[in-house]
Amino acid sequence: MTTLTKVLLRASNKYTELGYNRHMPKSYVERVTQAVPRRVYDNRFGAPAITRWRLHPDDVEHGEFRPWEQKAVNNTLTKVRDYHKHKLMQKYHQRGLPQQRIPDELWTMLKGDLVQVMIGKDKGKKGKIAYIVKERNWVFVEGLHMKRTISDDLERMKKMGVQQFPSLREQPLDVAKGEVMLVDPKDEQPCEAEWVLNEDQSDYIRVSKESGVEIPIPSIAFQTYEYNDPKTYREVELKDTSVELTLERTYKPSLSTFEEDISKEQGIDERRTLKPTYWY
Amino acid sequence: MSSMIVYVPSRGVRSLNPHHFNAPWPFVKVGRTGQRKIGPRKFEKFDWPGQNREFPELSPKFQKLNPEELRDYTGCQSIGYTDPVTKKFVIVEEMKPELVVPDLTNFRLKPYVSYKTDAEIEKRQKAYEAAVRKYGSPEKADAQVKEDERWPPPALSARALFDIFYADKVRQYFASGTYDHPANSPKRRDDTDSQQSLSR
Repeated sequence: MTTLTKVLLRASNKYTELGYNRHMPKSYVERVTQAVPRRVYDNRFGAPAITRWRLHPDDVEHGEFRPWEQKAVNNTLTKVRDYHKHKLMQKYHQRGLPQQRIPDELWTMLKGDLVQVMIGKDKGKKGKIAYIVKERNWVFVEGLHMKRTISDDLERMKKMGVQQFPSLREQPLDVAKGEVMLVDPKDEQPCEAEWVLNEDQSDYIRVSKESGVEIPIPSIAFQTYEYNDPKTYREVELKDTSVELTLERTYKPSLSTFEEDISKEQGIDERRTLKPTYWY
Repeated sequence: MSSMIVYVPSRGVRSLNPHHFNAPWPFVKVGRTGQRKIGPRKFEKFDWPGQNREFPELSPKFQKLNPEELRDYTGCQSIGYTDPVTKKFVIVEEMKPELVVPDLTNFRLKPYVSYKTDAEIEKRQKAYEAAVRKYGSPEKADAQVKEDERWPPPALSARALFDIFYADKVRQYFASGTYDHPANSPKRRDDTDSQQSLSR
């Protein structure tokens, strides 16, 4: 059996694509994280191009906020400014540590899952996942592992005369360090999980490594910015092309070149025949 | 001290005066304080479009030898000409650019693709994968599943084109024993459509 056949016989692992922000265009994310070249010094007689980045992709640091949120954007811009300041001062810019991101195939935490906090004040407590930052292996659990924080713009609020109350805010829990674990539905104990094929090999399911019981995927895990569930997505009348139209196959094979197709459509009577062409 | 000698001989006489031993780049000091930079200076902004350097094909732009007509050249096609007699600019209607835009009334496609498509594609993919598992290999599954229900949709291969347009004819010639006949040879161009294309 060839490799291709093996690949085709296996079910596709769609679970790697799950995520609230999965429809964000990649180019847009690159732009807001500033991981784009500032100038490419190319045409170097065959030598590879030297790229001066706005912010080197390795230096992009994901945090509590999504890269396009205002606070994250401010952080990024500060970082970019520092980076280029150091460049001009001919000093070394301190590079961040390489981040060991858990590969998507091994990532098992999904939004809405019941998990147990393994460290800190709330050690042993169970709660639902509210927010995930895959880039940092972070999970935020609803109402657990909280920290008392005051809003950043405290001084501005004081000026405005608004009274500030300290608010509780969830703090990140690192999955790679085992600070948070899934809860086994069988004995309600913390467990590790893995993705395995189901009985009829058609789909991947999450299974507890300890008891082998399936951990069902919560429906909220399928939610994205655009819809709660792709099947219930309501098409916008003037903007969205319908499914049938999108997937309609309109191409009819014919033995004519592009030019001949066009001249036929435009009613041009072309008597001359093309000379034969050869590829060597 | 020798550098302070005011007179530098210019008769081709080499001397040890530092005047003759320039650094390959100018020593530049911007301002009394602040940024000092010694070394070749490269102004990136000169590479980019700006007020007086938009058109590199005319560079240097303000030379006297440049033709007068190009003085205000903007890279656009002119929509008229300057009358040499009256010295006035005459607009010619035919020279005005006209944008030909397709008429999109009753055009069925919209600017975006519905997110429901993802669900439909996933459904088809699942069904096709199931068929592949059932029949054992993609080739066997392709024979059973309709082309429209497959995902990813099959690419048009040279073999498929041959099957559609030539296979029947070749089979027919072969059955009648006239396949090697010069009349059926692909070198003849003035025959039917398909044979013309075959020769190509």
